[in-house]
Amino acid sequence: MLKAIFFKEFFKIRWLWLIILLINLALTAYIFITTRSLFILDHPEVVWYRVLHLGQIHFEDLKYIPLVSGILIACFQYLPEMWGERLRLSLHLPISPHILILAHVLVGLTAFGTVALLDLTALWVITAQYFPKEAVMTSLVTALPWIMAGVAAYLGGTLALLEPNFRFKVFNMAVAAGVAGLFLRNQDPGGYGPALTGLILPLLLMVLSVLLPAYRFRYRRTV
Amino acid sequence: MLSIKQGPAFFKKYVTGKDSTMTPVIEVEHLTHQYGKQIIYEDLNFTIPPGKIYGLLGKNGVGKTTLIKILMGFLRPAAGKCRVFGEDSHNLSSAARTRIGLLFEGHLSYEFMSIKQIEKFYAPFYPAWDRDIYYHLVDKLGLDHDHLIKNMSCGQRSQVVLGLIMAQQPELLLLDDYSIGLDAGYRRLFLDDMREFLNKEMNRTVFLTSHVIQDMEDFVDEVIFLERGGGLLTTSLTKFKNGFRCYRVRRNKKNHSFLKNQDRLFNPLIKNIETHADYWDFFTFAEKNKVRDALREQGLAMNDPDDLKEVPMTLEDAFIGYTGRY
Amino acid sequence: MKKCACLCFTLLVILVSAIYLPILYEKVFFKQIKKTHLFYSPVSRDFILKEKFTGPVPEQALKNSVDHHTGIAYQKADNTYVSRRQFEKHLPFIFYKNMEIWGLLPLELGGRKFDKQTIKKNRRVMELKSIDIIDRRPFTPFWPLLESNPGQARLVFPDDRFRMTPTAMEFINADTNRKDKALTKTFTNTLKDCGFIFPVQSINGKFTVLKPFDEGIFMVDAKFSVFHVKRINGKPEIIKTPIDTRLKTRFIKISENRQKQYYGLLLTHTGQLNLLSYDNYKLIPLPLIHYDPDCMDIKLIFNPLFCTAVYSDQTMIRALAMDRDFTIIKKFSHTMSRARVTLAKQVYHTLFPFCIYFDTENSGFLSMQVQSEGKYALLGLIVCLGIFFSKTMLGRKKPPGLWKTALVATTGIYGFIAINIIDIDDEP
Repeated sequence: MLKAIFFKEFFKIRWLWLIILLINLALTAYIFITTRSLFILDHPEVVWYRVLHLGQIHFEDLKYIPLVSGILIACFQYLPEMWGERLRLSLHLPISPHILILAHVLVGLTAFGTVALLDLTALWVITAQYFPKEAVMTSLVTALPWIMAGVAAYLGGTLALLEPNFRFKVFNMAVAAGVAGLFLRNQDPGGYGPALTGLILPLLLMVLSVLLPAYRFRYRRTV
Repeated sequence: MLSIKQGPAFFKKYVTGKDSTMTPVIEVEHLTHQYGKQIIYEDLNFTIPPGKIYGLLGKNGVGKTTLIKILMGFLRPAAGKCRVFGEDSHNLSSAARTRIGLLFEGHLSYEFMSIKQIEKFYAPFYPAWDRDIYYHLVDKLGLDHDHLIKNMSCGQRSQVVLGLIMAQQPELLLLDDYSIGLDAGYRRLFLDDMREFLNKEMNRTVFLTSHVIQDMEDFVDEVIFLERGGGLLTTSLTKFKNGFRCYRVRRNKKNHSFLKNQDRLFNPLIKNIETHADYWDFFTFAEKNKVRDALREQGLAMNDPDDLKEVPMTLEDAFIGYTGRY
Repeated sequence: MKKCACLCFTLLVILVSAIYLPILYEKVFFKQIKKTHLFYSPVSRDFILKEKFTGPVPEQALKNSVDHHTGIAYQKADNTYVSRRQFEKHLPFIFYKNMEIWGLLPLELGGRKFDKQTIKKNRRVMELKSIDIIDRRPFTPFWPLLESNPGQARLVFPDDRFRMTPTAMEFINADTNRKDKALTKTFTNTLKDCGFIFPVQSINGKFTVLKPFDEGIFMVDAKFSVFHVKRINGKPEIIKTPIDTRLKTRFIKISENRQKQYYGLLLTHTGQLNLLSYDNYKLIPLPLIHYDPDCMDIKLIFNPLFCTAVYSDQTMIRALAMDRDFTIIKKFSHTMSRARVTLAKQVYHTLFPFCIYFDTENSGFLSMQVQSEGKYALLGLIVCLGIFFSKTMLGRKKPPGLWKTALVATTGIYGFIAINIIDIDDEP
């Protein structure tokens, strides 16, 4: 049964997922080119100084792309479910609503996860090409909160889109924006380091919170 | 033109449908629902026994969709009980949901899937799934199995959706406005498919709504007329057709002041009055003589026996006469 | 499962609102007041400060204020106010350029005359912010070792940087991003020959070319011995300093200065701050009282007569005036005007029983900290609980459930918002 849900969800977002994957790929290629040009325009030791010491982020263009990717995946996954309230079709299936919704979320997160993995891997490869291994670690710790912002955006999108009541929808969006905002502070590279583990908590809370609008959709009192 | 109808009290005596010998598939007890301060219905009661086909009829805005949403489990009643297979409809177990096939208004389906994919999607959820039933219906369309549902006409889509519901082999089918968007041919096909399915397998219960009353004529066993405020009449269509009458009285100088300062007729015999430019139509379950007496009592002068004429009605006329035009 | 979802969303709402609502309030009702500037005046031989006021400005301060700067006061230690010009005249070594314009140079203090050159030559400011301390900010453990004898006026970055592995000082060439084996071997061996024990504890230096000359770096080895490492003509020049290993050097803030008196400031693991002198790496302990390097910024202001140590946290500023031998002359402490509890602050502490700060206060790392102002918080919780009870009783005609009450009782406005926004009912 879960396989069927996974299939349906993947089938629904497969083109968008591919497009997002390609956009991310293109962006990482762009980051590669800009990083390379840094070394063409300046002496390597000066670039190292700027990046390793002054905190210049050579992959800054990546910052908001996971956020946008997360929102897009949520939209493509849940807007078709909300048009004409098609989610009722799935909610009537003989499977508990929380398993159903969490299966949906799992597919979305997996789709996002692959995109994020691509970003991080590309960042790893690009940074390792031009910088010492210490810089790779700093880069990953710098980019990881942006990825987590994408997760928050995806879960926030889910929270808002599944919610049937407009007032709650707006509130859910505000909460999601608040959580995503936690991951997008302008910090020195690596500044998020020790806080990252703790910041998993709001994301975990969000994962289970998305069940609430689904329940409200399922068992609501008013249309 | 003026439409005058009786209040809910009039119908209570007509409320039937309780059969204590069978365990009902649907039980509605003291159901109340409201949106904000607007009460849709209060203290609604009826039961649906197994093996019967019920049609829910009513004008727009009387709460048909609300009732079917409550039955389907997507709306929790404000008060009262609505049980399907003995379980609260808003909290049905997975096992109960397996026994219920839902057709949502507009033949909702996952339109991004193809004929083949959607069958594959639904099949694992239902132990009694019969893909042959599905393909038997869908193959009538002569479409490739890779054809996407979103590229189908409304009629074609209705076949796919019906095929999916039937393949599930449910004991109860809740069909919300199956006729919407369908031309006469597809409406006929839909009902023919249904008949075939219901004949093959006994004891399935169907609860449906439709805007096309004449389609129901040879299909449903019983109809439930739902009125604004929760008035309810459960009857068979034959009984309704044979028992419900329309009497016409021409308007003239003598009687032109009748009903002028009134918006209701306080006589329980008259269900509805439609006022036209030249005549009044009185709709009732009562005999001609009783109606004449009642109207006279209300002050309508009728000297000639031909002043009150019975007008033949189609089922649709009767339905409109019963519910009122607006 | 629904209860679990409700709980998670409630916690999420509480978390988000406890972070953002106080920020919103601060933005609307709080004025961001910078820290007070405190100095020791060689003229009055007492402390003098410049402060922006929170709340009403004393009349005397207003009298001395200049045009639109009415909120800024120049206050002496005896609580009298002076004008800005007077203030600057109290600090002639700092505002020596103005003294020159006003024709007050050379000035005479304590029987000594000071002209512009003498003042310039003897002035120096050393600073250690809590965020500067090596383990309090993010950094990439990969450093440059500058050529201390560049053979030209300007310093340049070398082609390589080094990392400290558990066994070596490993140089990586920037052009190739590969290890420079020869250089690695040379420096590692020299370090070992000097008695350096791997792995390193900390690397301390001023890693910039924007300084007058290069004094190399200071490495603290596994046993807390401090090594002074320089690259001269491409070769290692390493000195094992006599700095006591028992001090467990935590951080050294190097700051090259042409006076060549002090390399910088050395912080021990106990929080003792010392000046690290050129005189055989002799440490001069600073007699600071209530100094906490992890949450305070400190400035050492040297002038031809005195050295003043000024350090502060968020509310209190302290200063020590010392002579050039670092003997205390005078002490001073002052609660800054920014710490004044205004009505807006009282409301803030009452309204928000606790606030979650997600910030980089005193550090380069983001962290979450919960702060609460006891008595106000308690008052706020009681008021919030009262409103919650009244609202529920008026609406539902029955008292609220236990866990909802407990939630509002512990989280106040946040729980109140969560409960009122989330449509939690008791049915499945």
